[in-house]
Amino acid sequence: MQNTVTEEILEMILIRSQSGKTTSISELGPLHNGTPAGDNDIRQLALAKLIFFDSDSNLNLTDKGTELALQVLKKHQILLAFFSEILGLDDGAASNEACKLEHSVDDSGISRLRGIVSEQGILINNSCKSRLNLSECSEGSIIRILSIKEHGNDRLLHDLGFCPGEHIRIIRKLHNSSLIIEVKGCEIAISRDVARDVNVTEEK
Amino acid sequence: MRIGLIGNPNVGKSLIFNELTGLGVEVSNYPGTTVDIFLGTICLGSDTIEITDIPGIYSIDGKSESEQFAREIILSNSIDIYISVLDATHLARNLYLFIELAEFRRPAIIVLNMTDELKKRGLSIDSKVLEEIIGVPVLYVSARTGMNINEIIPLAAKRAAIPDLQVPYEAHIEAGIRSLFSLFGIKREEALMALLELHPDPKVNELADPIRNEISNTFHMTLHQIIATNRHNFALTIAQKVEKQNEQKEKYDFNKYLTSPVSGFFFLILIIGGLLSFAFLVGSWIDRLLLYTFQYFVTPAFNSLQLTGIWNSIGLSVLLGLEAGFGVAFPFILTFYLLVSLIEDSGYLTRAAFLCDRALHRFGLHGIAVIPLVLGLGCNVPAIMGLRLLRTKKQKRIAALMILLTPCSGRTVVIAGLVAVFVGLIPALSIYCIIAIVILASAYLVNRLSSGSEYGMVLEMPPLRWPKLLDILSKTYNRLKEFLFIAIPALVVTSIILGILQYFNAFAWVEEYIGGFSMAVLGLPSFATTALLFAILRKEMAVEILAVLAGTPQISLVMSGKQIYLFALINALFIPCISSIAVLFKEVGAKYTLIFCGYVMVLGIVIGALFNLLL
Ligand SMILES: Nc1nc2c(ncn2[C@@H]2O[C@H](COP(=O)(O)OP(=O)(O)O)[C@@H](O)[C@H]2O)c(=O)[nH]1
Ligand SMILES: [Mg+2]
Repeated sequence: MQNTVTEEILEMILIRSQSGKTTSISELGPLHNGTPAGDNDIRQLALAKLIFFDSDSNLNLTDKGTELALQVLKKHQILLAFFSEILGLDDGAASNEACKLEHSVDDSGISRLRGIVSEQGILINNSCKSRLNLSECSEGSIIRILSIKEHGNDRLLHDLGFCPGEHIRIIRKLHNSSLIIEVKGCEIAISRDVARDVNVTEEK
Repeated sequence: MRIGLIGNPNVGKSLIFNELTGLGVEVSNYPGTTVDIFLGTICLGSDTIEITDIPGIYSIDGKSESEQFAREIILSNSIDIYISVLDATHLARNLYLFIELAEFRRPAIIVLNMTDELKKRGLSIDSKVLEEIIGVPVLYVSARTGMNINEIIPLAAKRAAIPDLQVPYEAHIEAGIRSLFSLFGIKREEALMALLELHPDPKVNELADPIRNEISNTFHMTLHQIIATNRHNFALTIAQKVEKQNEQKEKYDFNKYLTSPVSGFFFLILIIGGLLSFAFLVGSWIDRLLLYTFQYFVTPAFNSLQLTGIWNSIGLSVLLGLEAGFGVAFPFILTFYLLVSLIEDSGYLTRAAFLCDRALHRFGLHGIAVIPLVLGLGCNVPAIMGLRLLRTKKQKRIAALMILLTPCSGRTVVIAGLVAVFVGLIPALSIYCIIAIVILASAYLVNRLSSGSEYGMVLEMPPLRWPKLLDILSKTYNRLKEFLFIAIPALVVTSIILGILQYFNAFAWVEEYIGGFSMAVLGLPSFATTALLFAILRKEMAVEILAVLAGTPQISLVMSGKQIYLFALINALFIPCISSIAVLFKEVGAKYTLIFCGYVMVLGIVIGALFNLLL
């Protein structure tokens, strides 16, 4: 499926540019379905005027390319919301399924799915791929909490103000371990395993 | 009338309690110090008022030991009026607990503490508006400067009111509360408890089961998560109405150097190492000063009395007991307690906890364990009580064993007072290294052997504060009291008894029973082994009794350097003191107390024998 690979490339460039990163050919790396991005695919995209190279030989989306990538991303988000929130798949599995189907699902199917998802009052994240757990975020970033797994019935995190919707700041992150988080003006030190239970999204 | 101080950890409840009652409750700059309940009585006019310092909690709905305890106090109606102490610099976070209290509809007043820091941050709070919104009197205080402290009790006694607040919960929850009322006549506060599965009556919780399940299925969140979010948002709207940021003040933040990966560890070693050597050094100066005083003033004065026979023996025993207690033990106990109080009050311990979190995970623990471990350097007893900061049984067990092996000030007395003085500083430090290895290996072992859940650290880090000299001194004095008024008299009495026994030559049997084993296995003279056994009363008794039995504080006259070294090393392990066995029993139960004490004793003998062979 040639289409899959090219759409994946477009999507990846879009996501990287949304978080302010540039993309060179080597950074494309293996795509979600595991196949490497071939020169052939990139040439094809460039010929279709979906991408262009800038002076640093980074890949950039043309307007047409951006539009196409946004469409794919939107499909991904709807599928992800469907799998994780309605079918209850865990985040990783839901994301994998969404990545597979986003290229093959047709437009009428996706618009019905969107209807179901929004009927349930589920938010479709603007940028669902920025859904992270707290331990993956970097020092200094300001993030918004999406959800918290209640671990062993421990209510402490919520009582300290870790609530969905709350904006928090990572004051300090030791290499690969504990973090200091500012919540409601207070500094809270947490271990990495605790941070993994907190789903967040980075704010622009 | 019974009044209770309630509030988050570290908002100054204990300091206020001390200033109100004049009692010496411990004030510390880390969350969770007050684990036991403290009571004090004062008079207001003709009334006596009983004041309770309730342990610091973040929520009345929580599951930790102190939170359950606070919930029981509130439900049992054992307190008439609540003084809700809020940290004015973190109003929104602190109001959360107050809102929970308000839902129980108990009479209260609000005390806004730390108002001195409020000004420094360029913040102000309109207490009149707050009073209007909440419906209870609000008082501005600063426990540090003493501002308005004397107003607290009269205000509580005269004007406490039931807060007039109702949290607007999410529509489904409100509907649930309404249907619990219309179906079963359950009141709002009880319905909330039932929804949170916290109602003391399990049947009521069961009635709420269907509603609870439906709501949590709809939102994919637990009820506690939804309710907590609603309360936090409500607290925030109140705080926003009364708080004003007058000027933006950029504070110089030294904190960042204490927690950064590179300089953090540098400061950790510098601070702990620096303070330890300081305690050693100053301790040994005082030590020399006191021994000198005894040698040149007290002993000659005694000799000039020219007593004879058994009286001379008794007199010498008293003198020896005092000399051992004050001259050898007191200096190091003093400096160590000072040191631990200083570290505690500054708030540095939580930074150390953060830095050590990763390393401690290897032993099945997490950063918070640093707090009891450092306290253990002062005395194992409060350290073992501090285990309540840890939340799982497994973690408590691992940390309990580590604390039991941590050289407390009593053991330091033996190491510093004997090895450092008579053998050398390096050998003294080497004992700490050996013990450190033993502690880590034991923790690793227990972690491997025991099962149980682990969950990482969640620890609030209070701002660093310059400790107040007076607070530290009074805290040190409180801790020294036991040593001065119980240990020293006990030591003198023991010394007299031993003196009399020696006079009648009653120690021959000791020679017979312990002597052989002692010399052959541990390489120690029998009186040294006897002294080691006395350490069960207090660890520093080992050296005091050694001096008594040897008949001189100049131990180097009767024991070789190797023997002194072995003596201190074995004493560092061997028998835990009776008080720590007692608290251990309370915290981890009989089975583990037995296992741990047995383990430590065997370890002491084995390591002693091993080094006896090696050296
Ligand atoms: N600046 C300032 N510090 C305070 C005030 N009240 C208490 N503290 C400090 O806050 C820390 C915690 O106090 P403590 O009484 O142990 O709090 P508790 O946990 O609520 O009992 C200590 O370091 C106190 O010295 C205050 O009004 N102003
Ligand atoms: Mg306290």
